[in-house]
Amino acid sequence: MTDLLLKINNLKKWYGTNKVFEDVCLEVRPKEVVSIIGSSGSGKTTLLRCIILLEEFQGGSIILDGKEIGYHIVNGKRKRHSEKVISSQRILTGMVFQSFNLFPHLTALKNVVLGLIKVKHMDKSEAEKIGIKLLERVGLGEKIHSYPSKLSGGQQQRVAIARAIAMNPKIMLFDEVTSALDPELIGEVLNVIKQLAEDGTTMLIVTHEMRFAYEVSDKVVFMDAGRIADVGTPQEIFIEKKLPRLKEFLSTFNV
Amino acid sequence: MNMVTATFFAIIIGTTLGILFGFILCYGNKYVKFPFRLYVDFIRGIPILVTIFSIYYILGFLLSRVGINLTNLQSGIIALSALSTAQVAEITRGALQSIPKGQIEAGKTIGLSFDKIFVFILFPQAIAQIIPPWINTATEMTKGSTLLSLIGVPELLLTAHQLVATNTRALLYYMFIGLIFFLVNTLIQRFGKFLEKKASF
Amino acid sequence: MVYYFSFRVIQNNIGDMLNGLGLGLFIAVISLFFGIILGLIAAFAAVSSNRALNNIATWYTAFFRNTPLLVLIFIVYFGLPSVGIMMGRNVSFIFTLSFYAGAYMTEVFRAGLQAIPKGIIEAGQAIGLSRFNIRRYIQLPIMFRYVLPSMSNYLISLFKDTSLAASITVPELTYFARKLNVETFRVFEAWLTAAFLYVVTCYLIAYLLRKLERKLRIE
Repeated sequence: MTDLLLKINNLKKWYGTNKVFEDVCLEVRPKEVVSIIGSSGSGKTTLLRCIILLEEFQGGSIILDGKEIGYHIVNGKRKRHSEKVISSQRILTGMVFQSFNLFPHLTALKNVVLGLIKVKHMDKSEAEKIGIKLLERVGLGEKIHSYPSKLSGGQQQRVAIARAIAMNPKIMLFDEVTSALDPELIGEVLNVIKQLAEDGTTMLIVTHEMRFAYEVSDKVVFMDAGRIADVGTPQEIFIEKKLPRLKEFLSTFNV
Repeated sequence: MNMVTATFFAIIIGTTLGILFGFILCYGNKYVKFPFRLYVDFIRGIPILVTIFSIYYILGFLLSRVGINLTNLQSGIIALSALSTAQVAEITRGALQSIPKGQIEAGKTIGLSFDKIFVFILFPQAIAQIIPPWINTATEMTKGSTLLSLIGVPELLLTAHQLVATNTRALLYYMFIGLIFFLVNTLIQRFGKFLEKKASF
Repeated sequence: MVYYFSFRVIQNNIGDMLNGLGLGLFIAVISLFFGIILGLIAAFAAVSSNRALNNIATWYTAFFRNTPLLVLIFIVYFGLPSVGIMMGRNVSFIFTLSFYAGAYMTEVFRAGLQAIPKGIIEAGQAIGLSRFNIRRYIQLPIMFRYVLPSMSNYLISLFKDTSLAASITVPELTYFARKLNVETFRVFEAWLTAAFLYVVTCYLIAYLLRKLERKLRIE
């Protein structure tokens, strides 16, 4: 129980008068790979964004590596941490976005090392050594000085992965990272993620790639209309499909 | 009051001539376009004040030789009109050029002659694009009318300036003038937004 | 109708006029510089979440863009002394023009900042960059790349606006042209030369800036 990397307790988020999700509980152990599947609007992306503190949430708590992040109790009232503290907590998680979001005015290498130099205050040459190694690891050793506009979608996403890994986060979050890619480019990105899993990275992956989720996950979570509807091993979720809603959802994917 | 007259005429004349020039600049052939192009580029390349002074002095000089004496106000209006014409011409040209050529072709295929095509098809579409920058020109003309004080046209700013010479509350006077212009121009902008809404579909 | 166009007159006065031209350019560049600084501050104020800052920025822009430049010049040069703030005419003009330029720049910068896709800012937050660092290393560099063409065009516009300095007898090109005209009645020489100088300078600036843009685009 104490060796949980991530524990989410009864997370609750509202957007105005709309409930986004409620009573969300999740546990992730170190080196575990967890996939989250569900239809759009089920709250999967928002959940990830809450973990990396890009979104606020009104109830519940997120405990990362034993410490609660995002909020604390001040004078008996629940308050969000200051920007400064939030920034420092964000580097415990790494996020890869659906639309890559590379910094267009920086080369691939500079994209990767910006955080190392400005947040971790690393020396430039040291940071670049790490950056080059990471870019080689994702297969882009020859493109370290290329600008994002000159890279394909798949290449950009791999740079984005390298950028997130560079900060050495405790857990990596992937938000539908292949949804914006042309089909023939999806494979190269999924391979990188698979490799990361084999290297023991703890990961939370929101995806529509069902086959991939089945192959790479230790645990699969099915979210529906703002709640966690089912949790299980890939075998349980994809093959046995006990829940009717789950069956319905998966049938649209021809799995 | 002179300010209003000057601005008013400058805008009216400028708009009418400007649209005409813009039309020529967009659809005319090489030779016809040339003098208009030269005119527009020249006027837009020199400061407003220089235009005003030039027209005042040069035109004044030339016309006095043939016995016509222009009042300061008249020279001012001519100068401002020249400027607004050039601006509106550019605006119109840009708007007309941005209409897809297909529109003209479609008009031709249903048998319309070019002048009808222009009036019923092209111009209505161009209007929406002309209005915002045109409002800007109108604002500039209002602001430009203050420059006429430098050629002795008795308008708002000049009057204030003369009053101030006998008064120590200069700052207040000028700020008050500034406020008036600010309000007038803000009104013009609001009017412009209103026109924009009506013109779009 | 006899008028002897005299090049000699131009020759005698070209020195003064060129000096005036130079001063005009100088004033334009300095005002643009200060205007950029003011514009940056006001632009960030305009997009910040602080309602008061938003309003201040909006009022600043609205006032300086809707009020005639000449009135602004008079307010500063003639008006301020009555409350004890005195400035030499050159300084006064540069002061006025800087604020004037700043108002325009605010709009330009604000649009540029708002055009940056939100996701890129979030990516910066995701790697733990502080708000200040995001502004400095991500927002500003990207924004400047967006607005460079507008900025360089504006320099030309600002240069033409410097002619208004003549109204408070700053020794600028227009001032000398008028002086020449009034003293010698040589209307054509005075004004055609002035006009010519302005047009040529504007074209030169435009040409140089376009070359600069092309160079910067190769990255």
